[in-house]
Amino acid sequence: MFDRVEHRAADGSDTVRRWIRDDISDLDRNESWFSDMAEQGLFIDHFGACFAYFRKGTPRKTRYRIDVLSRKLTEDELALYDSCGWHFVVMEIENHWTPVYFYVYQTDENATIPELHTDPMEQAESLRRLHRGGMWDLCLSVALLLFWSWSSLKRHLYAQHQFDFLINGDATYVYWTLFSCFAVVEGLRRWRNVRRLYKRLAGGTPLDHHADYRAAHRFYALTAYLKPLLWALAMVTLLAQLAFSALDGTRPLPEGTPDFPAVRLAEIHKGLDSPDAVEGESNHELTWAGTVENRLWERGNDPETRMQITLSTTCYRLLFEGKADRAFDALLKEKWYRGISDEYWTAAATQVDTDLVDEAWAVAPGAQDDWQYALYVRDGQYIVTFSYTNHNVGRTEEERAAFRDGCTDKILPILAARLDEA
Amino acid sequence: MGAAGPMTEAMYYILLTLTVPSHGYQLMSAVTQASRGRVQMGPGTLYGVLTRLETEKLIEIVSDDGRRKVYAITESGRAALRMETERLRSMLDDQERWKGEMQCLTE
Repeated sequence: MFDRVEHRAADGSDTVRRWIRDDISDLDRNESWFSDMAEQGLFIDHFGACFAYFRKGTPRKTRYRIDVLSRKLTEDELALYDSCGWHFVVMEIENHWTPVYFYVYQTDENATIPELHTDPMEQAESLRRLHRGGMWDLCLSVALLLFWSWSSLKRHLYAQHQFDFLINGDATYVYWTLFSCFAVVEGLRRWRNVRRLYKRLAGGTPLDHHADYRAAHRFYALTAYLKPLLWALAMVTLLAQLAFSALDGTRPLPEGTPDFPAVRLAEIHKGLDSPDAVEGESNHELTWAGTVENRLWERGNDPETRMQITLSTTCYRLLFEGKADRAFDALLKEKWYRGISDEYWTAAATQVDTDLVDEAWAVAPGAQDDWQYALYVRDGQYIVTFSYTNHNVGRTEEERAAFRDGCTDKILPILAARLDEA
Repeated sequence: MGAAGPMTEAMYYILLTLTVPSHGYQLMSAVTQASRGRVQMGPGTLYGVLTRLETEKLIEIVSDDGRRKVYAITESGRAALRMETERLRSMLDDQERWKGEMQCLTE
C-alpha cells in the first residue's frame, strides 16, 4: 500500500517548487507529470498561484488521477476513495462562472484496485461543465479584447480622441489590451485542452495517464512566465494610479497669481477685486503621459448687470515642445469636430496674429456656446485653454467678433507674461 | 445522456440499486452484486454519476448527517429506469426476432 506517512517539515525545507505550465484541467498531462516527479522522489503536495509544490520522499512509481467535480466531497466520501485505494492528495478550485473542484489522488503503481474512473463516457460528462464554462470564459475574453483594442485604436485613429491620448497617455489602454490578449490565449488553450479530453472520453477511450507533457510544457513556457509579469504590471498600474490620485487634488482658489500660467477673473473683469466677489476652485493632476494639468475655475456676478460670469483656465505642461505642437493641432481638430459646423467655426474662430506666444486661436461667442469666448494658446511646452462666459457679448456676429478681439487683447499679454515667467 | 436518452451502464446500475436507499459504500457493493461482479465501479465514476443524477432530480438525498449521505431514487428516476429497461428489453426482443427470421429464411 502507498506510504502516506510522510509529512512536511515545519520549515518547509522538504518541499521543492516547480512552475505550473499547464492548467490543472490538462488532466492526462498533469497525471503523467506528477507520476514522473514521484519517480524522482518528488510528490505533489499543493498548488500556489504559479508553482506546484512537491514534497521530497523516497522515489517510487506512483499513479496519479485527477477527478473533476462540481461540488466538494465530504469526509465520508473521501474515505470511500481511500478505501478503494485512491488516497486524496490535494484539492484545487477553479471558477468558471461556477466553482469546479479538482481532486488529486495517488496510489502505488502496482496496486490492484479499480481505476478511479471506470466509465470514460461518465468521465466525459464530468468535463461537460468545465468545457461549457471554458467556452464562456473564452467568449468573455474575446469580447474584452475587442473592446480594449477598439478603445485603444480609436485614440490613434480619430481626431477627437487624439488630444486626450497625447495628454493622458495610453498606459491603461495598452495594459488592458495586453491583458485581454493574454486572457484570450489562455482561454483558447484551456478550452482546446478540455475539448480534446472531452472528445476522447465521449468516444469511449480512457485518458492516457502517461501522456507526453514535455512538448506542451515547452510550448506553454512563454505564457507561464508572462502570467506573473502581467500581474506585476497590473499591480504597478494600480499603485501608480493610486499614487496619481493621491497627488491630484482639488484645492481652494489661490490668493493672487497661481503657480501656473493663468489669468484671474478679477484681472479681466472690473469690480471683482474683492475675494468675496469670486468663488471657485483649482485642480492639479499628473497624467500617465507625464503631462502636468492645472485647472482654475472662477465664478462671479457682474456688479452692474448681476449676471453670472465664469472663467475656466486649463494649463497643460507637456513633456516636450514637439508633443505640445501635435497636441495643439489635435486640440483644435477636436474642437472643430465636436458638433461645430465648419461654417460657424470659420466665421467665429480666428488665428491670432501675435509674437507674444507660439500660436493662439480665439473663438467668438456663438461657436461653442452662445455666451462663451474661448482662447487656445500654445507656447513652448505649454498649452493653455480659456473659456470665458459673459452674457453681455452682443447679439450680432460683428458685436461678438468685436467682443472676441477685445478679450484677446486683454488676456493674451497677461498670459504671455505668465508663460515667460514659467 | 440523461433521463430522455440512453443511459450509460454506470447510470443504469446506480438507478437500479438505488431502489433501495443506500450510501456510497453500500451502493458500490450493490452495483457489483447486481451486475454479478461484472461492473466494478471506480469511486470517481460513482460520485460523478451521483452528482449528475441528483442535479437531474433522478435521485435525492434522503438523509445527510453531514458526514454520510443516503441516496434514493425519485419518481422521475423510476420512470427513467423503466423507460431504459423497456428500451433494452425491446432491443433484446428485436435481436431474438431478427435471428429467428433469418433462420427461417436460410432454411
